Amino acid sequence: MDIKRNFYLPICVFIAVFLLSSCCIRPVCKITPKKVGGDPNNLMVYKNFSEVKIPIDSLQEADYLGVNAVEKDIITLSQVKADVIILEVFNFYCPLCQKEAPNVNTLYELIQQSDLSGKIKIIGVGMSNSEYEVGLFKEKYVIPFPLLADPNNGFYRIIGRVESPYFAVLKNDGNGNFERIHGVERNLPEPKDFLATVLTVSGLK
Amino acid sequence: MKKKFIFLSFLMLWIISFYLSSGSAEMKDSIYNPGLLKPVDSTLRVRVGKAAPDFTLPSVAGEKITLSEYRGKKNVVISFVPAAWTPVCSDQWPGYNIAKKVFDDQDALLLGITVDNIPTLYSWTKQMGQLWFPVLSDFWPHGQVAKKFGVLRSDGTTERAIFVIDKNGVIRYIDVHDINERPNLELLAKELGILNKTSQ
Repeated sequence: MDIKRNFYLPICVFIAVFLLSSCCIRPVCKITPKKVGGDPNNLMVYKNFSEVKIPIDSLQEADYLGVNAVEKDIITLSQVKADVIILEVFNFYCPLCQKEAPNVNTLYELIQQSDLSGKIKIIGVGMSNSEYEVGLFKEKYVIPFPLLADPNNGFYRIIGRVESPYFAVLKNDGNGNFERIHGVERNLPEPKDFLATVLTVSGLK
Repeated sequence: MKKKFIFLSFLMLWIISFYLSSGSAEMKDSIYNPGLLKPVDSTLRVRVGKAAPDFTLPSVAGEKITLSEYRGKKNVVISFVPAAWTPVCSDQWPGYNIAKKVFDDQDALLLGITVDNIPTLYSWTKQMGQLWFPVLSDFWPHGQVAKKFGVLRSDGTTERAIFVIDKNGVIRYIDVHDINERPNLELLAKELGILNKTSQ
């Protein structure tokens, strides 16, 4: 029995270390608050999530966000009709964000195909990216939800230093005030698992 | 049985240490930060309106790429980046990698060049995903092509520079960028658009 235990012990240690290191060693893309371009007259620095401005690109986007708006209108996050908003922070140049883009689309599909479509919305923010770069990102990955460009890192003040991709779960207090209740850095968990976590932390479950 | 146990333990430890050391290449600290550098540290030897100097360089894929082979066929964008495993460089090309359409739309080919050797470029570009454009090594004779264009810095790295060369082999746009910042992709796309319009 002892011999058996001695034989299997290193195998167990190996598996444990392997799993632990798999979780810890991940490539990352740091987002630093340096100025990288963009319109110098458009230095939006937000104090809270609710005042984030969202330009409406199409009627479909307005419909998705549940707002009465037309193309080129600008709304604030507080106007979005949702109990929960999943904010995806990405960067056009970040390989990890590129890798995660299809998974976020899967998450969107999961939500849209369930009875949660009116309660949970996804919005992406291209930190340090121009509108042009965000447009290319949207086109490349056929992203169905709204994406915002944040060329001057206006989100930095409310999000803090994060490593992209970053996923913030924001909850509506019922009056259009959105507060962050959960955040995931780097790799998005399996979309199904992440959605389950969102439901639990937000109390929608 | 005891010998078997000891052997197995050593084997496991070796596999663990190998895995950890190979994984470290993907860790955030694998990117070396040289700090803020002198924005430009070389003098251009070429100019807009003149023929681009020809060159032949080895690519990571194992081919030899000659600039003049594209004459009459494709517009060429050359992207010099200072060095592998450094900030800005490590995300500039991944951006270009998902912007293939920008180059295709203007009948342009992108060539990435650094003064690193092939094994270094292989490891570095592998973690960017599958790049659609050739990555060339100007390692030996060190920086010879960069020197021809006038973008070899005094420390042996290159400037962060972009050259747009038309189908006649003539340089149409030059951006020797501040080495600390990423060039504007939209501006490059606009220049390519102008080039394509005037050549039609």
